[in-house]
Order: sequence, then structure tokens, then C-alpha cells
Amino acid sequence: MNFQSKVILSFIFGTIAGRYVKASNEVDLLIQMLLALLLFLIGVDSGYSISYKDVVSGLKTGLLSLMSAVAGSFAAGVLFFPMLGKLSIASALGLGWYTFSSSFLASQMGSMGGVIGFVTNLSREIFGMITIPSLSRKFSCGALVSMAGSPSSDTLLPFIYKQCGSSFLVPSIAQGVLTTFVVPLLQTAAISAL
Amino acid sequence: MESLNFILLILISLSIGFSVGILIKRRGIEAEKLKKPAMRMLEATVLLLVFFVGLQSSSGLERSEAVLSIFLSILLGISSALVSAIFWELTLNRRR
Repeated sequence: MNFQSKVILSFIFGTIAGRYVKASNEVDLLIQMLLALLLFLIGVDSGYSISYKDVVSGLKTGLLSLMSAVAGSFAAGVLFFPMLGKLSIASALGLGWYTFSSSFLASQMGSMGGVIGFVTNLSREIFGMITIPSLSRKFSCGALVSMAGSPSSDTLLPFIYKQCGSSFLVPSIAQGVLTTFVVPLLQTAAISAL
Repeated sequence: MESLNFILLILISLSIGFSVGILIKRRGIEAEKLKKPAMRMLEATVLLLVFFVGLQSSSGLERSEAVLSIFLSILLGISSALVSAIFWELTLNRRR
């Protein structure tokens, strides 16, 4: 069984388990601890194989992929505007950061805003988890980082790393860190402008 | 504040790992032997992570009743990911 099938099965088992077991705060903590472990392992490999030159060129690529992610998400939001209204643009500009988007949009637009913000951004992340291994044959690594959006520095980093190697670690992390500052501004702008 | 702590946790884990990687390189330790078990550990961690994200999302969505909005939101999430990738391929990738 290949890695992609294992990932899909893990997600299906997790979803089935979620029907019977209520996710508590401990699950959040566990996810954070697993992420920390993942990033430690990835850090060891990158420290072993990345040079100073890679870091400098990676930052530029990270900024460009963020611009592409913002433009692409905005375009998708405009496409869904007739069906979801201004929530479509605001939630698409969450760039996959579902924890922030759901709570921010719930506070600004009510419970429906929270649900749409959560589902839109979570589905972006899950879509990335499931399809990055297969889409890597069609798209370049820069496009994969751009597609991942905010999770490029955490949950989707191992997937990008597996397909693109250590040379795309810095752009992925740079984009993920930059989205932390950009997403609140973009969502605030989307809500107040429309 | 919570997300700031989370980002700090990520950066600290990565920095410690990065330092360990540099240390291995500088001391000339043969890392090829460690690569296979490390990759297995990485894969196992990814699978566990995906399992818990699935668990968290399905138990979180039980409360929602807006089926159409959820369906449209899923499409929106997928579209925004794909359009971002296509945007990169059509514009930035050609310029590079």
C-alpha cells in the first residue's frame, strides 16, 4: 500500500472514530505535540542538508507563493460570491487557517460565518493532504506550496517535504509564517469592504 | 495569543531539529543509516496526525445543520487551493 492510500485510510478511520468519540482539548494538544515531533524530524534533515544559499532563495519563493495563494483564493472567493455572499471571499482568504478563520468569522458574521470559515479552510487542508502526492506530477513545487496556503508550515509541510525535498522547506515555512500576519488583515478588509 | 504560542512551538521544534542536523553534519556522523528509521517515524507521525485531524473535524461538524452551505464551502476550499496552484503555474512559474 502506498503512502497516499495510507493517508486517505487514516483520515477515513479518524472521521469514523469522530462519530463515536468526542474530540476534546486533549486531541488539540496531541495534534500540536505530533506537529512538534514532525517539525523536529524535518528540522534534523534540513539542518543536515540545507545551505545558506538555499535559505536566501527560499524566502523569495515563499513570498511569491504567498502572493499566488492570496490571488488564487480571492479569485475562487469571487467565483462563489453569488452563492455564499461576502462570506465566500472572507473565508477563502483564510488560506487554510481554519482555527483562526472559524473563530474570527463567527465573531464577525455569526455562527454561519464560523461554519463556512471552518469548512472552507479545513477542506483546503484535507484536499492538500489527500492530493499533494498525486498533484505533484502535474504541478511544480511552488504551485504545491501556494495550494497548501497556511498549513504549508505545519500539517502540510511533511507532504511538501516528501514530494519536493528539503529545498522547499524554507519557502513552505516562510509562507506559513507570513500568512499568520496576512490572514487577519485580509479577512478584516474583505468583511469591511463588501 | 494562542496561535502565537503555537507558532513559537513550531519554530522552536524546528530550530532544535535544525541544530541537531547541523551537529550531525559537523561531527561527521554517518546519517545514511538513520535515514530509513527516521522516514518511517515521519510517516507514522503523519498518519497519526491525519487520523486526529479527521477525528476532530467529524466530531466538530456534528452540530452543523446547514448542509448546502457546507457543501459549497467544501467546493470553495478545494477551488481556492486549485486556483492558487494554477495561478502560480500561469504567472509566477513562467517568470522564474
